[in-house]
Amino acid sequence: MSEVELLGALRRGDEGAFRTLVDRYGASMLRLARVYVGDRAVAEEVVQEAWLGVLRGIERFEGRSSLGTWLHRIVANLARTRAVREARSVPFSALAGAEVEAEGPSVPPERFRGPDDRWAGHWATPPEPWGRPDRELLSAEMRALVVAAIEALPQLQRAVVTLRDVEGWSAQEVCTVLALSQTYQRVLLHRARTRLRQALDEYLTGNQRVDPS
Amino acid sequence: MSIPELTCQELVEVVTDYLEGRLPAGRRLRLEEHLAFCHWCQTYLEQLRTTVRLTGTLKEDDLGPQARAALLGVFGDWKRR
Amino acid sequence: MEALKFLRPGRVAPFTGVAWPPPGQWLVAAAPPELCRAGVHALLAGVLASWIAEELWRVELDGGRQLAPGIVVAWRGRLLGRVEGWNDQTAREFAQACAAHVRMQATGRAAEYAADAAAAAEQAVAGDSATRVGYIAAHAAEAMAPGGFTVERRWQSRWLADRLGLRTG
Repeated sequence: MSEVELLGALRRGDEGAFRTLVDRYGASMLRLARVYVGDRAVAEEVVQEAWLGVLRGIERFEGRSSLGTWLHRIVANLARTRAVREARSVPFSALAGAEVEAEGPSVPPERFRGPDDRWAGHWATPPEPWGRPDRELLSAEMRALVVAAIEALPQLQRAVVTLRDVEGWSAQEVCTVLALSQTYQRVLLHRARTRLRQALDEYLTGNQRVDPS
Repeated sequence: MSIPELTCQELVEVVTDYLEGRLPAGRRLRLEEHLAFCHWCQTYLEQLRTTVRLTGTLKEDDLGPQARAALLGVFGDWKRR
Repeated sequence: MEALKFLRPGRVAPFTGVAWPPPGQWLVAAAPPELCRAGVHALLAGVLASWIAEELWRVELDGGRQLAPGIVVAWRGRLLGRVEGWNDQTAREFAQACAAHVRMQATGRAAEYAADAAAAAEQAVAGDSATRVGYIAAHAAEAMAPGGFTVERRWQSRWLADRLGLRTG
């Protein structure tokens, strides 16, 4: 069924169409909700609320964005509101404002040679090759590590990297869902990926890096 | 020094723009010229790519039967209103 | 047009990771040629030193245009054959020549770069290590006179082209 057909069927109260949409988007909507509210039970409530809002507003959906984008946008808005209301799931760093998420160099400057060095700007402590086969790098252990590292990210970075790299959405779709400019979305993605790489690096090389941010 | 080049420190800041295809051609050329000799940055880029690949394997359908049933309940209620 | 291409072992393009087909078979671009973004890229001899990798190939480009100094881009290209003279030994000679070329007259900071180049030259093989020596030596040249970097890189490419019997472009 095409999206247009699904939409039409949903408007007519077709449960099959609803099931199809839940199968298609439900898990990813839950993952997005969890970026904001953390707690799984609360996230499930948010997703239910989102679906209710969708069903009630189904007549008004104009189809200017895709159905999936629209669904996730509703989830993001509801989850954000719920998180603020609950207050307890907002990490301390987020209270300082969105600027914390995207300020300063993403790799600490002390990793590079200083301006008076003849090799200014080059690596002072270069990255060590991980030297592991794919089988090891893509193992369950490493996946658990990345999951933990994602959960430790500031909220917006976490939202962007979840939608872009976990869910595989395009930059344009993520900008629509999270109401971000292309540039800011890219900055957030960059910082998230940089941190995730660092987390993997620390684990694989045993080198604890000091991260001033 | 007026060599038109990219340092390692600059590279790590624009590497996502590069991977996204959003670097202007001139800067992209400089970046690749840098990668051609800088094995450290090659390592860094490779590690970033691996990180993205690993992140891409996390997607699982974990909605769960209870959550699914609850959603179908929501639908049922809406239909009956 | 004929041009040159440095590839990683196994005919792998260094930045895209695309494996070129065996010699004679066309590699076709997915999109219209655009510098660094799309199309089959290759080198003219004048910029060889900056792009050194393990394998050096002669390539034929169908409708190539120079989109940056020494860089030609076409909608399709095919490998013609290996430049057999390019190997670890030639790479070592190249690196040593680069280091030697900047050693004399170098004082102060330039001498420091020249020393770095000489040290690195002893380990150079066909690959990024060789182009790195050239890069370091070019920095020594720049420290001696502004604009020296580019001039030195061109000298390095000419040395390589002559050594390998390639037509300079």
